[in-house]
Amino acid sequence: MPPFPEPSDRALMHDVQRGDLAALDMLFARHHRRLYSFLARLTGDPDAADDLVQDAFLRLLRFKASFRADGEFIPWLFRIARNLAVDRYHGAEPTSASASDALVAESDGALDVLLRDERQHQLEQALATLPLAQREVLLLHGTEHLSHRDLGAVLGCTEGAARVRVHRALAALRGAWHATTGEPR
Amino acid sequence: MNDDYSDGEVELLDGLHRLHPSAPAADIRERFRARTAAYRPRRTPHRSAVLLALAAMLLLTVALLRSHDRDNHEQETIGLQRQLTAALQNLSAATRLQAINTAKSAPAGDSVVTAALVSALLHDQNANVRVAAAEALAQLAPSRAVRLAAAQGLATERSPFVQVALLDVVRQLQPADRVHIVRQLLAQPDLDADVRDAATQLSTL
Repeated sequence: MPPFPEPSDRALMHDVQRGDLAALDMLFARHHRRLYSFLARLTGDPDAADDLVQDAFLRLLRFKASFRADGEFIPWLFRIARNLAVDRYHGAEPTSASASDALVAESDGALDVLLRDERQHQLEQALATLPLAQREVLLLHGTEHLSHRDLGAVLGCTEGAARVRVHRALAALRGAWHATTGEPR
Repeated sequence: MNDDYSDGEVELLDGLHRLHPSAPAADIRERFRARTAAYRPRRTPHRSAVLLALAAMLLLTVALLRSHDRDNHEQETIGLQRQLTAALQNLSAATRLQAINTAKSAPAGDSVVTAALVSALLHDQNANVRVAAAEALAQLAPSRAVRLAAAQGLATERSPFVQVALLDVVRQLQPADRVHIVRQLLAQPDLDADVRDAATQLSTL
């Protein structure tokens, strides 16, 4: 066990609220990769994701007073990032699949890895064809493993509504995936 | 979590979970640190005092320089107005943001500059530009134009970031105006929770 346990996100956020920028730097170091991955897939634009990650943490400074003492940090952070992305595109859907293409790792040549990567690539392609509203639901719940409750907190809806959105987005993804692979439904 | 889903849905969720994570550029943390170092919280009393002192020195210097030639002063003001109006039409959001920062050096109460800022606040497509316009307006004296812009902006704006920036404008208004505008905002059914909190706090001032 380390002599000094790592402070929780919530404790760091409380330090940020007291004006401690070093705590913000620690939160950035801890979460920026995860947030970047989400935003790169959501926008389909790695350069935009790079900007949005930094903007999200700067917004976190601006909104620091609204973080509640008993609040959950991750849903709050994703909510800020998601709102920034929605603002940036302001009705114009980001549809580029360039980021998805860039995300597929090179195969090492083994057949099973090749097949798995092919399926992953098809899933990426199918995901990139969905509207932003469905893509964010799938990325937050499926890839980032946010619970229905936390997903509702990010999207500003109830837990039940979030559950319904996930089912609908999965149905849309299934349709897009079959369209991508050419397989019958 | 999987109890909620059919086998087909579980397969898709499993695929989503196994997507390769995407990596940001290696220098992103250094770039973020640079931006953080430049960040100046507006409500910190010490920094506000320093900024006020700097602004006062700047204004004094400008006033002394310009007192030598009133005609030149008027020409410079007209030039600044023209530059601002032209820059706010620029396609680049970065240029428009820069223009708004430049507008902060305009003479206080300049109606052309105020009108340009109000126009950017209400019509610019980029939320960051609208936030900057709101922040610039919050620094102006609470004129009738500023009050109307804040009210109209909060009635139509949907970005929580811009809404919070607009609440800083509202904060400068007379209590009666402030209460009226905040009440209308709080009546919006789909208001962001953070904005609702900020508005509620403002309504208790």
